Amino acid sequence: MAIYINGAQAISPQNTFLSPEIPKDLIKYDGMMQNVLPDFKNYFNPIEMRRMSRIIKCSSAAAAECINEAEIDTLNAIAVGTGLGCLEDTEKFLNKMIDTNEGMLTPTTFIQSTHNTLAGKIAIDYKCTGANFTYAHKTISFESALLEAILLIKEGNKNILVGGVDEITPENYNLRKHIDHWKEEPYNNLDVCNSNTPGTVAGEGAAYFMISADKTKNTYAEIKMVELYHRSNGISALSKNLNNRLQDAGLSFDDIDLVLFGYNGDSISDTYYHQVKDMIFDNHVHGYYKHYCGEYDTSASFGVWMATRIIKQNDVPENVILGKRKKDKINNVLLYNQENNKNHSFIVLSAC
Amino acid sequence: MGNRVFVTGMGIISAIGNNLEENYNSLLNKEHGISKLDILETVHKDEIVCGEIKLTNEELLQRLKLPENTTYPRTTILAIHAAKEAYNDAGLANGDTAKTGVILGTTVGGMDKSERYYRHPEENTDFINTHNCGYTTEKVADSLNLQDFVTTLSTACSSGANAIMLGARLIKNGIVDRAIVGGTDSLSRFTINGFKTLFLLDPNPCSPFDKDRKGLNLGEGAGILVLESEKLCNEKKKYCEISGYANNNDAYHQTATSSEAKGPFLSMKNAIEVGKLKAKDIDYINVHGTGTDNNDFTEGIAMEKLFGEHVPPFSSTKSYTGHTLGAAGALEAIYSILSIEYNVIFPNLNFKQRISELSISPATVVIDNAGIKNVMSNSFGFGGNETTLIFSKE
Repeated sequence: MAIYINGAQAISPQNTFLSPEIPKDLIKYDGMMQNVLPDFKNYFNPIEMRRMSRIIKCSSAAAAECINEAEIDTLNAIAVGTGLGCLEDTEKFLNKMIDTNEGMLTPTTFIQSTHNTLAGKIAIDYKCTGANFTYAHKTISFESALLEAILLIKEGNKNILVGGVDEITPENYNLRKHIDHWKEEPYNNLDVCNSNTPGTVAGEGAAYFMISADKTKNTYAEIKMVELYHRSNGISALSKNLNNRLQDAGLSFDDIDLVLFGYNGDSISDTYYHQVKDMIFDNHVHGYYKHYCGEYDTSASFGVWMATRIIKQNDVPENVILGKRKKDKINNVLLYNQENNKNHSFIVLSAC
Repeated sequence: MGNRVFVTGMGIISAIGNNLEENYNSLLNKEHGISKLDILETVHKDEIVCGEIKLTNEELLQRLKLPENTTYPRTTILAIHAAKEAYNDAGLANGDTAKTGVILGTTVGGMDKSERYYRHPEENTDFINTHNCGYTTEKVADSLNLQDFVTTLSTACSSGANAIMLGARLIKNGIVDRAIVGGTDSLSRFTINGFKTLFLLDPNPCSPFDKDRKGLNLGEGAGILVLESEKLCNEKKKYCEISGYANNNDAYHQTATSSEAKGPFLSMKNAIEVGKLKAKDIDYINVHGTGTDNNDFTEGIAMEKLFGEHVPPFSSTKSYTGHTLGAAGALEAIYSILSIEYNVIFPNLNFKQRISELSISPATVVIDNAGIKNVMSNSFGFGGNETTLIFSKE
């Protein structure tokens, strides 16, 4: 059964929203990378504008444009991945609770702190009474939602909205400095692939995709494979497992025209990308994407957004390519993401 | 139509017991676990009652033979406690090679640690990495040495039920052969204060489906089930089959169910369809039954709409455990399965008078020899998230 991506929209730290192509000029950041915000007045009434935090607005605006673009009759279900959910609302409620010693608190930020606020809001806006799932598992939150959509399509649904949404707040950014999560400032997001230092670059994003059972004029790509390994059990086991799964999808390693790696600048975690690059995909064309979006739990969703543009335009921008190799025709893109040798995710998108 | 899915092991810790047997005995003997807080520190401790597990983190770690300086959040410790029991119960041991998924649901994750150290990260930075929902699932996988597939759902109060549903569907579709599934949540000041701002906390033990119900009691716990495909558990003791499941959205409001109860109606109806059953086949419903005005009324409306004159016997076991949020769906799945295993219906505590708009009332006494083949379990949550599971005697 073929499964298609019929809509793909991303709000990110770059000018990607509503863009048919990958922006060639990157915005440079020397600290945390935050979303380039659209004019939210086009999407929300004044009450919503006041009540809703930035992540909810980004999520709902990106979802709205993705749904528009896909031109579907009915939205059957929604699956959202978010590693940390609505951080700003969580922080607000937590801070107020501590400041007032559990005194006078208001419910709005508590309600909106719940991870499934994002998916729930879209269900309300679109009166979607179908399945509504929120996955919150670190760096595979988005991939879990994508896998959910594949199951839902196999179960007979036609159109599933899938999102990858996370936010970085100044407070969380500062908090994670205590565990040396980030690079020392000033860093440069453009350098995520030439880093010799530990720590990553902070990013965020809201990417939505319409995952559909039918191919339409709006189709970007076909999803050929979504494969998750909590632990890889070493390169040779990984290579063997991947090979088998690619074969199940009617592909081989040789069919992969581009491998997009989730390099995030952390010299420790990135060694695992080096291994997979050098030992499994040595002869392939390599690319990367986190200099566009920074690192966050659902950054793989930005990679998928990028892959939809690469396949549709049949063009890999210069600043995405890692190394010197190129290819004229990009049919099959494999995305690989992991986190310190855990939660390995492999996604294959194909031209169709 | 895919692989059949069976429950072959269960583990549980809640305010009414530290294992399956203790929970079962408390349910039979109408012994609830709602009390004043002894362990969690909050300024509201004299105003509320909760379903608190009366073991400190240190005592729990000792039971698990983990070093006492382990910095796991309570949510994680509870989950490991229940997971070890479930894994043993299913006759499994470290080193089993079947392709296994570990899928849990939680809402607070490591919030108990975060709210303690948030302003003093220099004292203890561990909470920064243990806060996220996925942390617990990975620790459970590590504790059982499982490495294949791990993920976490956070859909408010239906999280645990949704984790069970995903595990069943992954087995049905042949993606894994076995799944360790369930939910876990500890009490935290964050959730106590949150529900307090919504005026949803009953200061006394809750009375689900009673006319004068005043709200819910928060609770804590973890429930873990081992699910296996038919081919893996051929020769084994099976508690039941997971025959039906559905998740639907009420698409009405973030914290309240619509008065026509569209979402709960759909999830119950669709679960029955997935199970290829008829409404009349359902012998008992373990209802969501939080004890809030809105939930019990709308859940009742949905049951009357779906079952008409023949609403099966039902009860809310939240009157024993409190509302354990992300764990609730898993705890109640286990109680539903115990109901099949022992052919018994557990009573709903503190019920006095029927809700005037409804024509149904819950079971208030233990019903033995209840002729139970199919049990329905409801879990409804914020964000209009409604899940129904159906368990069937083999």
